[in-house]
Amino acid sequence: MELLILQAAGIIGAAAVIVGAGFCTWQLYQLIRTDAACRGLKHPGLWGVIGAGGNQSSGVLLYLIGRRNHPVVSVSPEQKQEMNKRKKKIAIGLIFIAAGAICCIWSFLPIYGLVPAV
Amino acid sequence: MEIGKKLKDARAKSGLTQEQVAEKLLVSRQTISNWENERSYPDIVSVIRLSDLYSVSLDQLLKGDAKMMEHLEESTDIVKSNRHLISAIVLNIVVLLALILLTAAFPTNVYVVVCLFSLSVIGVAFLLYQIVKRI
Repeated sequence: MELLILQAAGIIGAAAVIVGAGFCTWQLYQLIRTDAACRGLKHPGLWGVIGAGGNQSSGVLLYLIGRRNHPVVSVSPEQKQEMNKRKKKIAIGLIFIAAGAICCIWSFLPIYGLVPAV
Repeated sequence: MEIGKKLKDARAKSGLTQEQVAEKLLVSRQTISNWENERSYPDIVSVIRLSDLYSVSLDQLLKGDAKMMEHLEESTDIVKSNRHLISAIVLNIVVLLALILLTAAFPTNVYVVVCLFSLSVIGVAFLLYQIVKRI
């Protein structure tokens, strides 16, 4: 019974990681696309794909390096508000991923006999 | 007096409608309404444009409104955001060092590894959020 509960917790944790990762990737794509458009960069959609892909952090760093010489041309308060909302959503997504990964690893330990089950 | 009321009074004195102000600032009428009703605050560039449009000094618009000053301070404080990014990087380096040292000291202890893994997951998530905040 305990093992079943642990398995369920592990699967839910894994699901949280996958859903969180997908959600974060989408929000990041939209955020970078909007930012690139505000800076007058060509192909903002492509920058969105580059930024959101590449294990998330390396893509974002690549975008931050690429946009260095492109200051903001024009950004409306609505766009700024939208970007701030997306950053908050990314934070929520990251919490999901972190919580899911931790839940996953802790629940699979007893299942694989690495620690005694409670 | 709060900035919302000041903006409303200044707009009334200059004889402009919210639509006209929105057109000149290239924002929506709803944004002007939100600023005047303090549902949101204008950024510093918009405040400067509004002061030009209404022919009032920035002093008159900004001074005395603690919430507006707090909003401007948060949105322009680069030093604070650098500090958070640096602390995220340092946290990750510390966790990595702890992982190397403790797994060498306790090679058979699974709990040590998993605890440090959990900490590193939190550290990496925090670092990634700090990087995303800079967009």
